[in-house]
Amino acid sequence: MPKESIVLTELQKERARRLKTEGALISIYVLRAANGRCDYDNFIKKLGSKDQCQIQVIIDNIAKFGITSCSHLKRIREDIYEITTRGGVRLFAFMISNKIIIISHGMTKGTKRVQTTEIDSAIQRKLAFLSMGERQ
Amino acid sequence: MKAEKRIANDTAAQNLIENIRESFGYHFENYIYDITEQIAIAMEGNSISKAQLAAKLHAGKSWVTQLLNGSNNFTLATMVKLSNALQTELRLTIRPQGWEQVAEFSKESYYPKELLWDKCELDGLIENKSSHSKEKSITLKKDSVADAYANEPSLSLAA
Repeated sequence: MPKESIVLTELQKERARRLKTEGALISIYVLRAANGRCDYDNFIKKLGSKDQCQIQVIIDNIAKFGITSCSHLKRIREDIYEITTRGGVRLFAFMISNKIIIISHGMTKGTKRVQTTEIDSAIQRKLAFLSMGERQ
Repeated sequence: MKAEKRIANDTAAQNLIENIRESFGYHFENYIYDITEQIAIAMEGNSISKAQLAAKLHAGKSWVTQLLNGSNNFTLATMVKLSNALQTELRLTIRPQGWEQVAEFSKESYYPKELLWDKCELDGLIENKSSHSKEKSITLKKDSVADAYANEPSLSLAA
């Protein structure tokens, strides 16, 4: 996990929407495309209310208390983290500092093993997002 | 126009999140998350493995795994047994929303029970006492209470 504190550039802020949580220690953002389309929002809208609640509880608790005591968040590959619910919903996220988590996209669990294409997609999105910081 | 559309989408998404946060499901899941994280911390603190906890409770390891995943709906009996097995103290408290603000205001640790409710109502911290108590009420089923007093090995731990 990156230790240094990083401030998002204007371009990065345009491509990420912050999920507002009261009393948050960690800022959690969701990625959105250049045309404004947000995969996370579209994914959440399609879920049932139970899954929506489970995800929101986990996100709020990570934001408030950090990742150390959260058993629902684990590192899977190349600094890509997975937030899982017991209902089988998986969110892919990455950290750009120890205070900022960016959620890339989500999927519902089909098999026990996460599809490598989903992880690859999250890695690509992460690299694209980080390159926006370097450009400015 | 693009910016306007983006703002509208963001507002709609934030409204969805606020609606989720106000729902019963959110509060319910939050309690489950809270208790399972506390159990995990207590297990780590006492250096108790899942297998050891399962043995103490005369249950299977898979049941403990399910429990820590939050798949079980906890009964009060389950929580008492877990608390004893982990050598911890279990506290269930029902109090008015915003009670901390009242305590801070009064410079006392807490008001007497009746006064606390009245004070919160006067301050507009709670709108309706009865609706609040209904939301937080704990219902004990006869069977689950009977289960708690049954012989340990025959206890039905899965809620």
